Amino acid sequence: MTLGDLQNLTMLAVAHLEERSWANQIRLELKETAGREVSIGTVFVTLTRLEDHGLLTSQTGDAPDRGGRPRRIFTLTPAGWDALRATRAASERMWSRLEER
Amino acid sequence: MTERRDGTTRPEGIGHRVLTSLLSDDRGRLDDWSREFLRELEAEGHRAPRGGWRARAGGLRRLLSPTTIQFVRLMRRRRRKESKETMRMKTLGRFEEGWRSSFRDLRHAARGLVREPRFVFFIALTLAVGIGANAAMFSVADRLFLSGPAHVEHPEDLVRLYLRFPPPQERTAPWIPWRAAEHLRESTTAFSHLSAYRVGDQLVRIGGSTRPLSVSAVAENYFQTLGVGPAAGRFFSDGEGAPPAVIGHHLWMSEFGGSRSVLGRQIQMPGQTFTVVGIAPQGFTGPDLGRVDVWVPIDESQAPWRNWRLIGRLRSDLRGPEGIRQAGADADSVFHETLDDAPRWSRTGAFVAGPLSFDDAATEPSEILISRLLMGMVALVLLIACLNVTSLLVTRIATRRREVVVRLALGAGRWRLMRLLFAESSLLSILGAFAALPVAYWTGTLLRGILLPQVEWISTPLNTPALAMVGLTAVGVAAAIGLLPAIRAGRCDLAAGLRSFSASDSGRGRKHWQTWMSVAQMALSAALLLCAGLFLKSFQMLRTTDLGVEPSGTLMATLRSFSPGDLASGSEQERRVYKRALDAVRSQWRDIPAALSVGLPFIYNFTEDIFIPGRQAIPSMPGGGPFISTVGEGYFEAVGTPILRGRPISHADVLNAEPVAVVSHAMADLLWPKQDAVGQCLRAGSESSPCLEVIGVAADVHRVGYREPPSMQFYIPLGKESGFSGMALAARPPAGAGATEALRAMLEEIDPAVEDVQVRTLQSLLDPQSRPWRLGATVLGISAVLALLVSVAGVYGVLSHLVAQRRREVGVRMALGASRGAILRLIVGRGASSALLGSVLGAALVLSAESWLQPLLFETRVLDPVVLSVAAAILLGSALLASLLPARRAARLDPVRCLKAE
Repeated sequence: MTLGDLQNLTMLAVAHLEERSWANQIRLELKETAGREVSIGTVFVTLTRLEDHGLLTSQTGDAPDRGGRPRRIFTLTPAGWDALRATRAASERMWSRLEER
Repeated sequence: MTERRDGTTRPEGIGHRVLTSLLSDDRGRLDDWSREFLRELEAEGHRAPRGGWRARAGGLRRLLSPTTIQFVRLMRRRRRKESKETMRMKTLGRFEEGWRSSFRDLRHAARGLVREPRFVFFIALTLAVGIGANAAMFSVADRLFLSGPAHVEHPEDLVRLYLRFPPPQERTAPWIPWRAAEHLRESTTAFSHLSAYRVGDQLVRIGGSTRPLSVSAVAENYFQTLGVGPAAGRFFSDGEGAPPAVIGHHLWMSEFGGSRSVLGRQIQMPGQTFTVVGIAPQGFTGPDLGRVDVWVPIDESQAPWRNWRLIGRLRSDLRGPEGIRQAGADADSVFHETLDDAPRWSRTGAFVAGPLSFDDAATEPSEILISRLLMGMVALVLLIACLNVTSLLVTRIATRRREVVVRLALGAGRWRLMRLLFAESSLLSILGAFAALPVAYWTGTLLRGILLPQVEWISTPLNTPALAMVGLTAVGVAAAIGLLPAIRAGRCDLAAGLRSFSASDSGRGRKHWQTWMSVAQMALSAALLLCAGLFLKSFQMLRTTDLGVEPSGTLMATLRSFSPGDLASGSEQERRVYKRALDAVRSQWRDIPAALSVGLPFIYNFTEDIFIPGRQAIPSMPGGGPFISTVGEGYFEAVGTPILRGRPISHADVLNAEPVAVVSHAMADLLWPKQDAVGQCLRAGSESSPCLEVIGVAADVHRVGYREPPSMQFYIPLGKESGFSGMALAARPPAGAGATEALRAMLEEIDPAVEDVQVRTLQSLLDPQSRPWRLGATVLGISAVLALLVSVAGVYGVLSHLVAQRRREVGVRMALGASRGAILRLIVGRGASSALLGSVLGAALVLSAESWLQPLLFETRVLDPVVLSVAAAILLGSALLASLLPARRAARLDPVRCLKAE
């Protein structure tokens, strides 16, 4: 399975953030690292879809900030890693074709 | 939005309230993920602003953005999926738990039953008889009238057409003249298809061998009318070159080994060669149930000389009895209003239609009526068996009261206890069902052999309907026999039970139940006994009916040749060969009556117009006629018809040119009342024909069967027949086995032209008519005996239990001076009163079904005093026998011991 652009970036953000990968943090990561500004609702919808597809899994964890409320922390499932790699491979293949010219 | 202590949220505006309710589950709770979503929205500032409605509406629009709605949809879909999964898991869990629990119950019940093998054997046997008989009867009824003929599409839309003649003939016949059949096919509008056919026995040569086979001549649209397709090859089509033939599946398998190379091969019938073009599907017998080996198209050059059966498929808008009536009316109006050249004999008839299952007289055949009765009767046997088993199980619960009390005291729920008892009844029913399989097989084989030997059966007696019936009946039986014991065990009073721990249940209620159950069994047995008696009497009346001939001792032989020229009806060669056959019979068995005849009763019936000099019109009789036969010397003696006055036809009459006749008694009385018929003059055929001098009066003879009104019959010397033919030899050889075979062997050697000899007793021609009564008497007799045995065992069981329970009462009675005789009378009186009450109730049951039962009987009234008395005597005698043993046991009790034991 290959991922859409936003899905790909969200998955990469989850992989990168590790134990800090909750919705709002992911949104910030997308904005800061990828330069994509999306609404919080869009992040929730994307995460929910990826979880329903079995690419992500989540559990409720305490936020590291003091007095913070419990948040859903996401991690990649093996299928999620596979999807991420497949998307990267597809993208690299396309780039290599372009470079050959 | 703020969060409450219990985790739920308190929305702060209408938008949040809407969102919260959309994201909440059935109980109004939010999961972590939805709560986080709402919290983040709030943090983003998507709060519905307070203030005017415009501000609120704007905030609401921002809050309920497409992304939010998408999230809500995703979450709701997720919740639905989770809820389905939860339900599935719950159901699986319940099922698994239920299964495990049922298995535990069954295992426990099995352990209990294994300890009582005799009890289990008796119950399984009782149920096997009831279930097996029902399954076998259902399988027969399914083939006979429930499913209709095999492979016929929508048999309920097919009808038969009949001609119904008004009084005095007052008869209905399925035979339609060809001209009328053709005209109806062209002109009626009530049918989508109308087809003609007839089935007969014909000599067929396949390869080198010749044999009689059942051949059906059918119209081209016959298979289309029935809605059947071939198993291989094709059916008939327009403009065939060589005459085609379709062979039956049985002939295909037996003669050609099921090889498809049979298509294109030739088979021969006298005068014609046919090419096999198709094979009918297995079990296909056309609209009737008897086997057909070959179907050939009607030879239209010969068709007008014969009469045909008509079947039609109703137009799609005609349905049910009203549709059938309308179809008959349509055929009748077309016949009478637009056809001018119908044969004269048919013009007085009115067309009527009947369902496909109807017989030749346009009524429900006796086989079907009696099968219905038998289905009811075997259901009664099952009911008796269930009553008996229930009674035994209730008694068993009474003796197991201690176990029941202990279980209740240890905390077993009443429902659990009832389930345990249902498990027992289910196991018994399953055992009964397995034991019923051989019973169903044997009973089915017997029923098929007796009731419908002519029917081609397409499966073994243990076919799918029979197995389904065994299964369904077993389920019903398990519920029926388990209900009462379960209720009784469920009602057990724990406190009272613990108080009288050692005593078994001796409640009054149960005794009443058992008494009524034994009375009910007796009543049902009495009903069965009565029905069996009535059928036996009917069968006896049938066999002793004065038919005017002696059918059991009279052999009838016909000779056939394959070459159409040889032995042709009415030919000189036919007469010569039959004469030689008669001489051979007379030389083999000296002094036995034997004769030749054209027009034997039950085989060939010919009618002839008659004229009496000086009379304008000849009155008619309800039985029709006048029937004419030509007979040789010794005929009346050979068939056993007494000559009442005058003399029979002699050899001299056959040789002389002097025309003579013998008339039947009814004809003599009708034509010459209060005069002697002998010496009177009679003209046959036309007014100008020579005067036949009446030389004798013979007894009236039945022409068709057991039930028929009187008819006019007369006999003239052999060789004087004109316009009819079909010779037969009648003989009464010495009684004993082998006469039929000896006669056949003798006749086969008579002439090389003879290729087929058919020898039958006249009785064998009548047997199909008496078969339903014979079947009724046999099956009902067996059912009644079984029911009686079961009921008597029930009475014995009830009285034995009664004696065991009332030992103290018997002891007190004896201590107070009651004699042993009085005790004996007390117990025997109980049994006798059950039997008497049962007899009265049984008779009332039969009487209530009088209107339905009476038409099935032959010259026997439902309340026949002899049958009633014999049935009551058998029932009473059996009950007395059954009660004698427990009564003797009671009378021999020692009062001192009885009282001490208590």
